[in-house]
Amino acid sequence: MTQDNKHDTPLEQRLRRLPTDVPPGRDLWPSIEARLGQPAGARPAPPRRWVARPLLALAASLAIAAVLVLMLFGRHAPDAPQTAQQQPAPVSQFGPAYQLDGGYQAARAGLLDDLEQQLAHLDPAARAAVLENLETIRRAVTEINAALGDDPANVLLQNQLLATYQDELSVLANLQRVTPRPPTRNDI
Amino acid sequence: MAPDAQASGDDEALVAAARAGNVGAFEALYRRHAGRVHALCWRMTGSRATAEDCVQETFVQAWQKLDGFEGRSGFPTWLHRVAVNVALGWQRAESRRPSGHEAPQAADDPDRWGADPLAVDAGLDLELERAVAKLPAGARNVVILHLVHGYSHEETAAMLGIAPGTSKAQLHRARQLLEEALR
Repeated sequence: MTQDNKHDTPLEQRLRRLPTDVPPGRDLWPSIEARLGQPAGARPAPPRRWVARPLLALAASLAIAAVLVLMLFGRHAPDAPQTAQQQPAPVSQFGPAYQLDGGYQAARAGLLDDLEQQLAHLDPAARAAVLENLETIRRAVTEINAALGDDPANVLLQNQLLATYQDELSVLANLQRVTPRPPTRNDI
Repeated sequence: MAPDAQASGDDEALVAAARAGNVGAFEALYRRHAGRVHALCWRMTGSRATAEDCVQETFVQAWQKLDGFEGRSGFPTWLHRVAVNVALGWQRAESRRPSGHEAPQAADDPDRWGADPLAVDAGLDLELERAVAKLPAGARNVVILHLVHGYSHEETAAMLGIAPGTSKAQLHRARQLLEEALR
């Protein structure tokens, strides 16, 4: 750390005066110590609350959303085009405790089944935007999963993966909100 | 012995003991350096919650990589390098997120830092911290490492994986943006 500070502007002097030692708001050592005995790449145990909660919330939200979709639309038409489902569902690969369970996968599949029907109600620009958004999210899931393959215990990456799945849920839920409900027998 | 040299000597002994498996020695290193790592993580991620994860990840990775520490740069610099890599990983993942989709641990709103007791207790210059937090990531990283933490452009560039010229260019851009923001 060797610098000549003689020609610093007032702004630079002000920046150099910012504190470089800001202790965390709580003692992080117990959580760190709990992970030290594990081999490199091992997953922290027990799972931290912020990892578990979003996953549970996500699964619950998806289950509710899937039920709503099934109630409103029924199963999708068998001849619906499949342009939005060219890629397999992203699957978490970083350890059994973090696998997205069968219920989540089933609920997600239910939402995706109705995706084509909902996309058909959108104008081409909006449809393209939704598909691009979903594609971006799927690319992100793939990349984060790859990074987790190298560093499975990285809690930041784990959190990013869960957040990215939540992004996908947001897109699907928003789509459900903005697309009109198709007429049912009761509407006629 | 000057305080820095004393601290450095202490670090060497603690690192040697930690390498031999002494967790107590590593805890002493954590106690000594957590604040500096946290300050770096907080500014680079802009999020209190993510900064805490970043600190934990940094020390866990440091423990796992201690055998690779050769002592050429000093333990605090080496530790900062680990922290920068952790924070950069978070920034990269964050940048892949589609716009309009906020992560549960996305950056905090800098305009609300005045209500954060930790920010107040740390004696932060909130106006300046807010302006730094709103810089684009590339410029912000250079400001944090070069101006706040005092690393040279060469050291900053090496930590960020960029050329020293890029570090200087980012600093120039950051200065302009900060002066506009603080005007």
